[in-house]
Amino acid sequence: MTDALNYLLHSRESVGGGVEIGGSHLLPLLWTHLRVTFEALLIATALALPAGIWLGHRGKGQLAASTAANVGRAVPSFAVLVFFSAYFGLNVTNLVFAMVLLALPPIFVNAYVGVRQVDRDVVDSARGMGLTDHQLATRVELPLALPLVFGGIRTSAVNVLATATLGPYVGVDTLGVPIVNANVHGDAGRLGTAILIAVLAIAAELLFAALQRRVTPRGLKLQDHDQDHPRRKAPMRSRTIAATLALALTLGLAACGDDDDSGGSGGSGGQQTTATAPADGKAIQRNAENASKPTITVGSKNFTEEFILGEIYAQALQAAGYKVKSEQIALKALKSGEVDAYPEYTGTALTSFFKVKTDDVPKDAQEAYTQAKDEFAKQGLAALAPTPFTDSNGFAMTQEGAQEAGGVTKLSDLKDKASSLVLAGPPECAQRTDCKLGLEQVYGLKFKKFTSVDLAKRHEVLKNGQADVSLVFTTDGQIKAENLVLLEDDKQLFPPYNITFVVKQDVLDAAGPDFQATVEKVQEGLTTEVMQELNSRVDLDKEKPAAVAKAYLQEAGYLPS
Amino acid sequence: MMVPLAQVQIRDRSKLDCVQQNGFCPDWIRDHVGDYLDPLWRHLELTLVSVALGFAIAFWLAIVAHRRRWLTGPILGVTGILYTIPSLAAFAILIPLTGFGFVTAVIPLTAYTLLILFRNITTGLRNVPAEARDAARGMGLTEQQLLWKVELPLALPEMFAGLRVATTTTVGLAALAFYAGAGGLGQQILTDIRFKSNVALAGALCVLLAFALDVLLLLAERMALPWRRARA
Repeated sequence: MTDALNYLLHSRESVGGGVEIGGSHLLPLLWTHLRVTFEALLIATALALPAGIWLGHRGKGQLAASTAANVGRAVPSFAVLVFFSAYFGLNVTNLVFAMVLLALPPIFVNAYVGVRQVDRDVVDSARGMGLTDHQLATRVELPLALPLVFGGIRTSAVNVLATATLGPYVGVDTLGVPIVNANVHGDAGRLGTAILIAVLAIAAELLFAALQRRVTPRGLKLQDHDQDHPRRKAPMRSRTIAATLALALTLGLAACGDDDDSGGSGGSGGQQTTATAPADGKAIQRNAENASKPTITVGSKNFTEEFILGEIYAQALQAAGYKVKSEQIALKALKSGEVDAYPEYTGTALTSFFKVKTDDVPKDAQEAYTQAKDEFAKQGLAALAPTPFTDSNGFAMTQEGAQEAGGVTKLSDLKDKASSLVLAGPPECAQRTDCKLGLEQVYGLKFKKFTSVDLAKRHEVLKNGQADVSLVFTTDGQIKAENLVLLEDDKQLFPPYNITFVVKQDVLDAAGPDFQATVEKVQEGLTTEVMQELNSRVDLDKEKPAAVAKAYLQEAGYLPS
Repeated sequence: MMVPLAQVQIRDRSKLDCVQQNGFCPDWIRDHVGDYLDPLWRHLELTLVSVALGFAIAFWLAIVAHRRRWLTGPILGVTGILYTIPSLAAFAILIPLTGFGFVTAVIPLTAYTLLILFRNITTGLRNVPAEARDAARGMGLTEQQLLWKVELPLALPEMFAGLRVATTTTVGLAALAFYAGAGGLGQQILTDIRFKSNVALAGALCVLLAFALDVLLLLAERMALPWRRARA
């Protein structure tokens, strides 16, 4: 707890090192958060308030009001945000637009109900006194409706403030950043920021409550003084449900757009090329002895290639007779005992865990592996033989982007051009020597802006123009499919990134020789081309990693089909 | 000499179809709806447990505040503050205490229902016509009988209204339960955040779930309140 408060007050180094977080670094996030909230609220009020008041004055639109109330409540804000970002792209404007939509219903409904519930006697006497329609609306109905109107604005304000926390999921850096990226900001960051957001929300609520009391005409205050609770909501009618269902379905199915929806999943037919497995690709032999060994928990990191690899190793070991469980965590979990083994990249291990300087990392794959293996051994971990494929970090641009930058093909080509380009990468990219930090140190590239995006969106940011250059993995299927330009690493910044299956030494000893033999046999078929294909099956064809792993094992002949 | 015994098939990706372009693909949706049933079930579980728990607590609080009116203000204050705290922040605050899982998600979801339910139950009780109360007292009912046989049944419409609002709201909020490690349709969205079909389908299921529950509660209200069937 104290650490959380400390995070809010003083800046510190991030969990992985290399980037300053916390303290005053929260201010830009806070500013974006408040700015986005304010804009959305302003626009929503400008739209919904006049509409609600006018319709309430006329007495028409009961159906619209109830529909708005129902739809507004039922639609999850997270889905709306993601929907917008999937269809229209990741940027602040879209976030504000989505939040305006979320803010409209309470303001509209409350304005409508506020005007409708004005005492009919008061309206009659006003008409009797000779007030025009306009005077009636502005001098009688509006003031009497103000408490409820403000109630609606208050509800929306708190909702929008809360929704802005989801900003990072759609590429906007609001106060939600330390909460969504807890792996960079740490538990203290997550807790501290959560407390800050809660305090902000309560402050907003109290502020608007006070405003609401200020604008309540004295007459109404006296009338209400012995009731502790606000008025009832407008009664809902059953036929509005049918209407709302129709509306909701229309919203959901809208924007089929010009997408080509020609048929099914999977790649389109034929096999253009095949990758050959080594002659040694015999089926895995089940050894009954292994069933009595302790259960092995295999982990994986949180992206496609790791999912697939984790599944391949797990299923292979299972076929060899071991009892296996799959999890999705990484080195921290390995050390704390939650998993027994997981696939790690030699390059990542050297630069991120063992803090080897970029210049000192061996460029030869086998040497890099040997060095990683020795370092892991010091921690009681055994790193098994490396895979044939290497999946390096890389940086890519779209064809058009590369042409615009002057036909660049290499990273060093970007030397003078980087200052006008936007770089995208995962949050920890800023602090890794095999990412942005390395680009600065080795190539001298200073980009105009760094956008931190979820790894899952590394290709999307290029497609929708949010970034000019993005971190990609060299085995990504999208590179070929989307005809991206993978910038050549001519100064050899990136270390080799072969996979080595890292397992606790004592688990390896207890499991016997079959473990290592099975693992090393089954990865022989994993060439770069094959890995790219497997990744494409998950990312492009939307198949499940477990199924893709099984298909690989079967197609390559390690498991019977 | 290497004799290839088995081969991994490399598929032709020169032309990308709807799914490979992350588009909105009705065929894919039709084929894969089954994958969404587990998250949908989980989402339903989260909603029902939270609303049921919230109702139980709010009901008890309302009864207590019915006897001691002065408690209404403070209870509204506390439930109001609970309602104001954004759900992601609430999950983040609870994670160090209760870890990741169903419980961590249910606690804030339940807390969010309290304000609506408490307010509606209390309003329902307060709006019982004085004549009904007089008549009951005249017939000799004790305070306890008055509450359970007259006041609560007459407060049912307001209670149902509150239940409907609380349920639809909770369905929407449960979409964020993935952050607490509790799964649900929000988790499903997160698995492929740029695949339009996935996002649209999960979002639509969320909305449909909310309306299904709303309709069910409406039917339950109709059955529980036969004297209101005469109205539209």
